[in-house]
Amino acid sequence: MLMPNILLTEKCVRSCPYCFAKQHMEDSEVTGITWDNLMYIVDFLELSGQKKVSLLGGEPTLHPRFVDFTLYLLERSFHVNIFTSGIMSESRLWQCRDFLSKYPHERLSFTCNLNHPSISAPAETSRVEAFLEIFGPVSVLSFNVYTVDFDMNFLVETIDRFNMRRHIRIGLAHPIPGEINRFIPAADLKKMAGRLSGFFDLLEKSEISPGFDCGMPMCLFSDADIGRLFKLNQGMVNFGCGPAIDIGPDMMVWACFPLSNVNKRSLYEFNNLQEIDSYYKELHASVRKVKGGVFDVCDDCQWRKKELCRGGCIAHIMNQVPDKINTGIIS
Amino acid sequence: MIKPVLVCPFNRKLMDKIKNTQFIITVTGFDDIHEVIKSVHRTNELLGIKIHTEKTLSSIDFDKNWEKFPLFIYAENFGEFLELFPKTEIIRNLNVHFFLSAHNEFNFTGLKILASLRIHCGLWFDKLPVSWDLMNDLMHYAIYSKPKHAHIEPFKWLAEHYAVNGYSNYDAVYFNDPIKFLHINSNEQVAFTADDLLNNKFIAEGAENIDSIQNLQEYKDLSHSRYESMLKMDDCSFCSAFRICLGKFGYLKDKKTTCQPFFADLHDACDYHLSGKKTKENILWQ
Repeated sequence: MLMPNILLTEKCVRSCPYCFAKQHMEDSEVTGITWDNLMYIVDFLELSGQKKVSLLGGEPTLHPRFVDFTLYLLERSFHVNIFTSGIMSESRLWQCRDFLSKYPHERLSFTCNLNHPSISAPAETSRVEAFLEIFGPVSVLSFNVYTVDFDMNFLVETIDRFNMRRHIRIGLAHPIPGEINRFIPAADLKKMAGRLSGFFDLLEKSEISPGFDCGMPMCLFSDADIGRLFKLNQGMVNFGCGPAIDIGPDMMVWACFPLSNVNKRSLYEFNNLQEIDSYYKELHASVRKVKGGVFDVCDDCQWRKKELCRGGCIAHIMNQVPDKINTGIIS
Repeated sequence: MIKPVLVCPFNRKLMDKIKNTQFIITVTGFDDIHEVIKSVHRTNELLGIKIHTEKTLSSIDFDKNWEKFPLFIYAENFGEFLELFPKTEIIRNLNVHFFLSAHNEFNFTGLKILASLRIHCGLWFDKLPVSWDLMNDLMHYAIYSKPKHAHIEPFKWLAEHYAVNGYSNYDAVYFNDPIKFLHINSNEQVAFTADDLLNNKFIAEGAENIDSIQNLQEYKDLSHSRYESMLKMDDCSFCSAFRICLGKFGYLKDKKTTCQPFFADLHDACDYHLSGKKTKENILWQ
């Protein structure tokens, strides 16, 4: 299911080691989306039959019109999901509380990206806690895995403490083709999955569902683990990788952050969201013709052919065979 | 002949004197609205209340008791969305049209915001400079854009009332079309337009003359003089879009880079809108 992302701003208060949006943000000359561009995007999505949208950044709450834009989208009957670090100034937090806290999560939800306390400054942590005190009940935690020795206990504690929605969005830090950032190399993915399944008991006991964002190959997990994931997530297990559709403040679109520096197009080139989706799906398919997935076995994998698994993140594939792919597929 | 609607300031004496007439009352303060509603003589019909305010649109304290009559609120500036937002529900329950000055650039965005939230609105013009690019952008949004939105005037009026073989005077939106409206002040002096009234260009005096005003020679003379600009060898005479502009921006010096390209585009938009209407009319349902 498509749920496009609108980038309100390229600014961010954090400097996460795994950040796969970093390259995009460094290259961008536009600092924030304008009212007119936002309204164009909203009309575009409405004409595409799309009434769900995510706001992200950078840190979207840094945009001076963040609350205005969110209220506008709600008034246009969109379901709005906001990806945030939860770190914001006091005045912005009070403004959010005054205007946004009355909405149920069916209309307005937050996905709060939490780093382990060991890499978070105390001042950051206290800001996040202040945010979660108010918006915890309409927020889902997001956790980006970028090392194999990660911990998830603090996530469960945070969910309990702030009465949050009982779900964790687990994202894998992905490579940015041609750039340097921290991510888990393909060879270590299995180790990462082993570590993750070690937390299944805790998650089950806490009644928390671990949902995968994208780019997670199915073969990292044993059949038993897949069965547990199936149960923990009420049958919704995602081993996909496809265009997310990000729309920048400068009205450029791209498939997803790891691919934000390749095949960017102008939103004005498309008539609706489905056209953008088809464009990037075709591009993905042409890359996967060169190499099916992150592992060599992906090429002949029956589960990939049956589309139960996409073969991992396409950015990994592009990193593995840059010479072949650079011959015409990527512009 | 159609009896014109009178546009006049709020004046009890005047309204008591004139019977069986349709009125648009102009006020400058929101406190006057209740008084106007109470005071209109039973034999007259109040078509609407026009309010010109120096407040920003967002700072107006809307009252749900205003719902009885159409309100036409003219404001200089849109203001702040966050200030307006809590009032959108009450606004939707009122019969209100907002007009924002074309002089302020953010107002163009403000009008798109209002229209996209299904609140009827429009631009109003004074003699101050306007951005023709922003005008064109707003006009395109008002006429061509597909997502549902409320009317933005005067573009929607022009698109709807565009006459292929005649003149279309969008001043009707501002109660300024002399064929439909006449302006009268508290001294019972009558003028074609609000500007004429301000500049003491009267066509008659005395409320008792209203019913027969269209027979007066002064009325006929001034009616004909309004299109005299077509006889002059100036830019407006050679403008393809004169029929929808009627020389309203005749005071501009460089029309070829300002009003003319804009009105040519607006003219095309009116044609496009008309062709759309015709296509709809010709659908054969079998």
